[in-house]
Amino acid sequence: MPIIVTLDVMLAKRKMKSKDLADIIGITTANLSILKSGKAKAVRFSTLEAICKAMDCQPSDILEYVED
Amino acid sequence: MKQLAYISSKLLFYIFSILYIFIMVFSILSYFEYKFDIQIPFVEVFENHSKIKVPLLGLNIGVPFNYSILIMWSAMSYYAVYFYSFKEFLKVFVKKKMFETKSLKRLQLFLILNVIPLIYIIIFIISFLIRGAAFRLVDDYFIVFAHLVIAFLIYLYLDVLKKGKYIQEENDLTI
Repeated sequence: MPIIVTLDVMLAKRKMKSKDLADIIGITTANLSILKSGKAKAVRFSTLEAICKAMDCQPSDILEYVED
Repeated sequence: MKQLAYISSKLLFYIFSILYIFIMVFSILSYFEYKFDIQIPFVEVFENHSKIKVPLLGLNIGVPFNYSILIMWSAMSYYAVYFYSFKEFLKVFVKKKMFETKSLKRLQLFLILNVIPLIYIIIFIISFLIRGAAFRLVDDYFIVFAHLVIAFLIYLYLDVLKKGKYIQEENDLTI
């Protein structure tokens, strides 16, 4: 998929653990792992909003478009 | 209602399986009675066939002592598997999560089982034509027709289930 999730980069920048982020945004660590690995087919705006709020970043900081 | 249908199909499968095993065992035993003159209960031996009396159900099943017994056994084996598959097919409806790979496989098996009688009839007709015997349209062919109608409906339902599975996967992978 040309959309790449760079959530792990942002997590490293913020020195935050996946489990902590999952707890803050209210999703399971399994779902967060799906999101990080790029296996997710779609992201809800509410999830995106919660991630941006928790990590104090913009959607462009965690999503990237790379041409195939 | 769905639960009732599933329980009924389960009961049907178990009753048929018991009947199948009973007939299978006693048809073998009836041959022993025919050959060695051993007294076997529920069996009545005649010149070239026997009769098995099924207790409780009050059925009288004729057992021939020739190759046609194999056809009888294969037909009964087919229906034992068919009723099992039917039970599994209805299980799909009572489960919480319907659109699963397992459910699809169950339906595919049921679809294949409904197509098998058509293959059997085609072979049967070909054998008639080879022997040059007259081919008659008897009641048995209507059972095949009924199986084909079921197969067609299952085929349509399978398509719906495949699309449902795709949507379910999309939904599961939406975070």
